[in-house]
Amino acid sequence: VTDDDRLEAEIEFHVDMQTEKNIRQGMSVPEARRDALVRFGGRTRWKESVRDEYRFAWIADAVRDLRLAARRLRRTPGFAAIAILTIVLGIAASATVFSFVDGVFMRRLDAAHADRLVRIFVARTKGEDGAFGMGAYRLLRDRAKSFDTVAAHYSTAPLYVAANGESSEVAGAVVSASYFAALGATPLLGRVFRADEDAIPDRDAVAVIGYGFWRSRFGGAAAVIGGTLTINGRPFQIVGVMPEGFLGVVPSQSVNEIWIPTAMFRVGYRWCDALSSDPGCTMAQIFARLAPSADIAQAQSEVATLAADLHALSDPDQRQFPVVVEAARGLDRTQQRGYAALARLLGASALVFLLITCANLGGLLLAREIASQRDIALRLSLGAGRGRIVRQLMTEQLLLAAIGGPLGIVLSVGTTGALSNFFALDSEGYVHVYDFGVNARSVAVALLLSAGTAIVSGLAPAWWTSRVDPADGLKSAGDGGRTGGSGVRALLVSLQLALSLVLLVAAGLLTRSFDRVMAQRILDPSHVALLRLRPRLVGYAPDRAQTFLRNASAALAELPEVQSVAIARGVGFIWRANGSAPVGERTDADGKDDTRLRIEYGDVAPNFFATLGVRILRGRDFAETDRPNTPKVAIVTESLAARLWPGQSPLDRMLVLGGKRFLVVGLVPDYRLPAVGEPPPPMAFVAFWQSSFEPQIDARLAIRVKGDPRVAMPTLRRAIARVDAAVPITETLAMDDQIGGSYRDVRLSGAMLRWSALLAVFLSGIGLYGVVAFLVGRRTREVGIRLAIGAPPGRVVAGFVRQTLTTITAGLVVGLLAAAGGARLLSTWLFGVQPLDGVTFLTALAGMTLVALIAAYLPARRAARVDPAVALRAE
Amino acid sequence: LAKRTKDDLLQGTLDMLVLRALQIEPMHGWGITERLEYGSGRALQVGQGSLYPALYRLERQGLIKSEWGITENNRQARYYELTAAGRRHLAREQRTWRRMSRAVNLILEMSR
Repeated sequence: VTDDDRLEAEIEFHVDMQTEKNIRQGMSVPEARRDALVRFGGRTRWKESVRDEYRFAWIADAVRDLRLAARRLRRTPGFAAIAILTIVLGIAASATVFSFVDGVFMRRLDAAHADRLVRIFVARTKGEDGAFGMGAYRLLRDRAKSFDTVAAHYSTAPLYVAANGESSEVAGAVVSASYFAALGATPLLGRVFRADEDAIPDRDAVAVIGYGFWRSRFGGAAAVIGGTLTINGRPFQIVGVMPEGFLGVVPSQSVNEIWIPTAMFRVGYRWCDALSSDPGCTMAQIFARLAPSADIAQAQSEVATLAADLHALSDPDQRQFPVVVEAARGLDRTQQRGYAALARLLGASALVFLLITCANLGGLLLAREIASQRDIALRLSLGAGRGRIVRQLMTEQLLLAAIGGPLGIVLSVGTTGALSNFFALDSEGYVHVYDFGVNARSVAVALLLSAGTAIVSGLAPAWWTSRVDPADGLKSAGDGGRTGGSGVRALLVSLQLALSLVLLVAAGLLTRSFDRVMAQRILDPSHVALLRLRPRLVGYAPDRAQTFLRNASAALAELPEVQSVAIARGVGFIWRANGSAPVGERTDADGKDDTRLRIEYGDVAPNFFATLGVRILRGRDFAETDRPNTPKVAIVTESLAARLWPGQSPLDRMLVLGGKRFLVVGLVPDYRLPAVGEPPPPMAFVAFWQSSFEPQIDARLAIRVKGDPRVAMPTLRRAIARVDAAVPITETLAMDDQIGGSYRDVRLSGAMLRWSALLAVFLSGIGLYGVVAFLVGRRTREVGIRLAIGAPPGRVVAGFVRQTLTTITAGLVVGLLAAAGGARLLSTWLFGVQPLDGVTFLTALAGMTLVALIAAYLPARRAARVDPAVALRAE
Repeated sequence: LAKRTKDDLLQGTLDMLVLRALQIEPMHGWGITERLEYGSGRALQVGQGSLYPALYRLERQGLIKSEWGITENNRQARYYELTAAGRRHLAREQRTWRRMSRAVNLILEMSR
């Protein structure tokens, strides 16, 4: 029977009774009925009014529950503070990780109608996804009907820009004229490129500049339009200024500050002649705006029909891979794949941490419910429903979540900012911008998670509460009452200890791993400044470039703060090889199934090893006497020597590399720290000045200085500029920062886990403390009696600690097993550390045990201070 | 006059009167109306319709509870009954009311 039916029946009854009374008083039947109805008044109105009573009843109930909850929390500020802190930490951690995942995988570009933007790329199965040749871009632009606008860009073009008498490297992008329109971006001043400016190679030297560049170089003057600047030695006319916040299409890779048309590719891209018909020159990345009538599936099938033509105009090596159209969300697919494992690790650690917060909160709430057992029993015996009491409890938890959740989100604004900064500098010293900031989606997820946390952690207390027996509860207010809840609490504490230990071990492994990376036993990265000299950008021929390089390194070596200077070819990590080549003579006739060992090699000048602090194990360093006209020489790593000449000296052997013959003159240790399970890659070094494979033009310098390399950098730059101010100096950074940048996933996951582990240990300590304090409080009377009859206080304390030993041991054993099982998942990030690293496990176990014992001892000690007289009087 | 009394009957007062009527014995809505009318020497006439919102409200507040029962004439009716909380609430309300009415009386009978 619904409330409406019930009311209807009651009114009917009421009116009938009045009618009968009226008849008894002498009215006729119809009259009696009419009078009864009149007396009752507007039936509908009363019904409506009754309905309001129960329709809005739940609101009134909720408000009352909420008020009651707030009052209870105010009465126990210590509990409230710890409970809220627990939620804040758990939510901040999850929201931070979610924002990261969102930024990497889901976030749309900051553009108008970003949901219509797609990326088109060659989906390689390994490594970087493929780009296209300019011809392929034009074909797509002219033939594909699924797109409104197709745009090509090469957004990682470091351009050497001289403007207003100041020259420096600026992160540039080479873009098609359609680029701005496709993004829906309009300039702040001037205009963007016209289609005809992007048609004839090398004709229209026009540039659009970014807001930041405009402010810093031109002081924000409007007269900048029509002015000129020099890019890589060529004058360009400034036609437009983009508004603040426009960073380009792949801000994660580089914050663009200057844009030039694709027709000027030759200025911005020197790896191949982009405008020639060379199909191998595939640097154009493509994105497009879908036509209103098209969806991604249609676009995909149309592009698939063009794939053969697109491949014909791009790198022939990527012919076997499909051309894919994908919604432009998050970072590009290559980066997404790179971050997938990290995202999983961070997600897992945030989840574990959230579980710990739930267990902690559940334990706290349960403790309080048990403490207020008498109150609950009283309310039950006064006729309050159990459902009502459980709902009251849930209201309280949701109130805690409603306070803690938003605070956690506020905290995560700070942590996501730190996270974005963490990713800001890459291993070449370029600034990246990652948008890991909190957005509507992460706020929604965080709020959901806080509500979920509240509900999950309320399960145990709610279960316990629903089992309180009113009679029993009233009787046993003091000691000796039900302890059923204590078992659950012990379980929750064990769980917390176990999970905390897992986090602690993971944090320890990653920390040790990064320590190994930084220690780099074979080289010493401290006090090393790195920079790259790029005469190629300003069109120097090899002879002129090499003369410059010799003079510049000599000038640097004369500076008082410089200890030694090393020169190497290549980009990125200075030890990283700059090429790879097969070893030995050809094994096959046609060159198709070449099964020869392929190794990496690096071109390095004399003093390279000494500058980096690497010991030459046998033989000699390269020397100034190793010239292009003397026999080619090489230095090999231990693993290459072991591979080619096991058990024998490599010195004076002939190394055939890339079809050229090298005399081995030295042996160096293996450098690269392989991840667990990977053998060190065999490597060789060849003499820089012999230009064994290609003539040297650009070079990477490592300069060992006294003091901080970051401080020395301007002095180093000036010394080079005195030799030749025209040559661009790029990628300046300290080697410490470079290594940090290369291993930032290790650092990030390590930092995240360290913080989680620290907080988790703290929370489980609080949980354990609470359980013991509760036990002691429960048995004050008993303790009083035992002390009164002469039990030594020390034994009483030990008794309480002993009681928790099972809880502690169970938690730690489970934690150890879980950690041992999970540690292998970290192997990607473990360099020089085994997953089952004894030191890490023992240290974590010892630390956790110590914290647990302290957390148990502190409240137990209170038992010894019980005053027997007071305790016995207490009831 | 009866109408005005009904309108002026403050909600809190009606609640108290209903609780008081139920303190004597569990009864149905009609019974409460009758009891209040006769109990007040016919001075008070509870607006019959306004009784039901009050009953539902009191029940929701846990002061009364109800169940179906059979009248002496063998008809089904909803019987209301005080809960423990209702009993305590009534006692509190009665104390307040007595204090109030004594105070009001003192003022009304003040000598010049």
